[in-house]
Amino acid sequence: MNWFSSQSIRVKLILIILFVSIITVALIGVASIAWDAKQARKALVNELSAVSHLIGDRSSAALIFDDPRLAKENLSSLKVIRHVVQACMYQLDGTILAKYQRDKIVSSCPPVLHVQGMKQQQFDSNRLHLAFSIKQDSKPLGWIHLDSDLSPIDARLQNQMIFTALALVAAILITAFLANWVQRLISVPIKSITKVAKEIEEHGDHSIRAKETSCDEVGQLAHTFNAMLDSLEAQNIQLRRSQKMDALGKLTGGIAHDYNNSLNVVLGFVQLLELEYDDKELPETNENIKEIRHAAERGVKLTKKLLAFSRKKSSDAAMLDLNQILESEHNMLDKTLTARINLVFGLGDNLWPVLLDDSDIEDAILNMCINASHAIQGTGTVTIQTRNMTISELDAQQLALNTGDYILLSVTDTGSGMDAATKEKIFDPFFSTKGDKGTGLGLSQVYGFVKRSGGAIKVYSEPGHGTRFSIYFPRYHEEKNGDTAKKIDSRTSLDGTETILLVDDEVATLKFASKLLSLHGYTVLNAENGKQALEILAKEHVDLLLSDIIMPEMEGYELSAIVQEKYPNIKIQLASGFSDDRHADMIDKNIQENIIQKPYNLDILLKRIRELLD
Amino acid sequence: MIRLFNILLISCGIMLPVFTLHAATPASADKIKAAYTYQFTKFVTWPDSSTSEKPFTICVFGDEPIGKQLEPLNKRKLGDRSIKVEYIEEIYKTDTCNILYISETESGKLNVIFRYLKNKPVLTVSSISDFALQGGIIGLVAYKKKIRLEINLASARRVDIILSAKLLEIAKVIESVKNKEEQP
Repeated sequence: MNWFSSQSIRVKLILIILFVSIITVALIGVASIAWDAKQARKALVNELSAVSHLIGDRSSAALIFDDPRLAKENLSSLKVIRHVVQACMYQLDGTILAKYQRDKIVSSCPPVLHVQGMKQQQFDSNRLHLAFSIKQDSKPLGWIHLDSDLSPIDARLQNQMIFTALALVAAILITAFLANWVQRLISVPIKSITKVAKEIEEHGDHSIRAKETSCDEVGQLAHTFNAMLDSLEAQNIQLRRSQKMDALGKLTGGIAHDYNNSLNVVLGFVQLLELEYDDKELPETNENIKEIRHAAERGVKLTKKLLAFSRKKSSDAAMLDLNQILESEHNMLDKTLTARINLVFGLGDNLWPVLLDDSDIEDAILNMCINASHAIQGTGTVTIQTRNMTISELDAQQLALNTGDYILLSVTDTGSGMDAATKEKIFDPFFSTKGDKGTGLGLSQVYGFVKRSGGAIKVYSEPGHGTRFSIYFPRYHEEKNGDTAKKIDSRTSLDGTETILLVDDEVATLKFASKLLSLHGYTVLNAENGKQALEILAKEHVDLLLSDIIMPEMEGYELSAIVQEKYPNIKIQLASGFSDDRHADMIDKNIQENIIQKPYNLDILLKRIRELLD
Repeated sequence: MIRLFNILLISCGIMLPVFTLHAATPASADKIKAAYTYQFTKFVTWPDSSTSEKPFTICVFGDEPIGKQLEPLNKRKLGDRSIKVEYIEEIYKTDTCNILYISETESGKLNVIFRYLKNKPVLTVSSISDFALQGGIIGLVAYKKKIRLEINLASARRVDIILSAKLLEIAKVIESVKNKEEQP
């Protein structure tokens, strides 16, 4: 059985068909031989009975008038029946009236008592014995006994066997041909599919497709296999893009983080300088400081863009109506696109709400419109459409989304369009078709934002026919517990007297932030890492912990988890220049949602601290 | 089977004196002749065989011990006809006979008998030598301790008596002198 299961389907099919047909033919052959043997015996018995009766009848006078000559003559007529070996005729008193022997070998007739005791017919290994009483007018006259060899049966059986053997050979030939044909029907297409699968496995070429030759099960298999390859290919492309984006995101995020830290320090100290030199009459110095601040702020803007691409979660997401946003942006967009481009809105009714950061979506729409205007030479049209959409399983696979309700925002231009190679790269950071004019961050920012919002972005473009960006945002289902976003208290005083523990591995940041907070009346304790922070907490009273997230040895998440457990009264505020979700589940959702961005915006930081402490 | 055979054998013995025995003694020869005479009925067809009212008559002409052997047949039937055995002294009384057994003592009267029976359907049987040759239908001839038949087919045909081929097969067919003479 093991041997059989290790064979190919081709061999299996041929073997099964051969086996079944040979068994069938052999069974039929054996049955027909057996039946024929029975029939042959019956026929032989019938033949010899008829002959015996005839001879008996013809010999009645010979028996009555005691005439062995006639009896012998009658018996001799048996010589035409070659298989009769011996015949004997007995008179009533048991004497042998006549005897016939085919061969010259002398063998005597069996005694009459034996003949009388016999059944009418009796087969032994190679003879048939027949015995009949000869009667006239139902009165017995004597007996006749016949011995016949079984040559007619043998001959008949031999013929039957030859015929069966021939039928067997014919059956084998026909079934071999048939099996070959059947296996070709099944195993050849399967083989071709396997070959395709193997080629894909070896060369990774997903563009190969299996031949769909028929509409039967195997054809369906090929069709399904091809469909599977199609979706696999689509998923592969999706996966490659998202891997690439992920890698780029990590890279840019990493760079942005370090860069941000530097800017944090620069801006922090600039702010300190501004505070210190605010009242003094040093206009030139003030001017210099302003310049430094502008440069740093430009840097912050750039890092923000980079971070927008790499960030995983939007920090200030709120429930929005896309149509409302678009309406409010209409004027601004119209101006941006200038008069040569016609802006057309096609906004769907009763649009479902989305959960988005309004500045992100505004940026994204603006980015796409600017790109569209750049793509349009001369006059043209930009169409912005929204509509509700329910994504089925099939579409979901294509778009790498979950099934469900989505809001589709599409921006279509009548511009120059793109080729496939360009289309492949448009979301890469720093990829630009505009040369020095572009930063190459616009669409990557859009991509990052869309991903972050749990949506998907699709580009349809053909050179000369324009481009359409379709963005799918998941429908937001309002929480019943009301608005989670807390209103920031617009109190005048941002000062306080509480004790704040500052944790940051960047000493410069630590120094700056501690000075800043001290100026607003807070007692500030500094720690350069989580361990130091815990040591301070053990000794001193602290009202609020302000910690960086990314630190060596112990991360901000871990630290805040410990603090939360050990000192539940201490308020926690996390800050980061670069957030990702690692270990985010260790802490409260509330803390997680309210992470503030570095470099610190003084106002936001102070407001947030008051919010927590009050 | 053997018992059945014995019963058959015994019943046959009652029915018929053992006719298959060799003609060793005169008495047994008579028995055989009587048995043969009876057995002829099975191989011979008479022209009036359909008339069943009259008994089937076996006549014995002349002084013949065979009559004794035939007498038991009186009780038997041939089909649905009863059998009657008669002794006849005068030849003109033979009209009703189906079989006429002629004694050897009557060999001198054969011409008269044949002339009388010329057109009568009577099966003539006798052990007179050359009986068939002289115009009798069946002659019983002793040969090698057995009794053989001689049959004059022409005589039988003349009176419309049909003899079975089986009977002819075992007999010696004789053409009578007379017949030869009659032939042109």
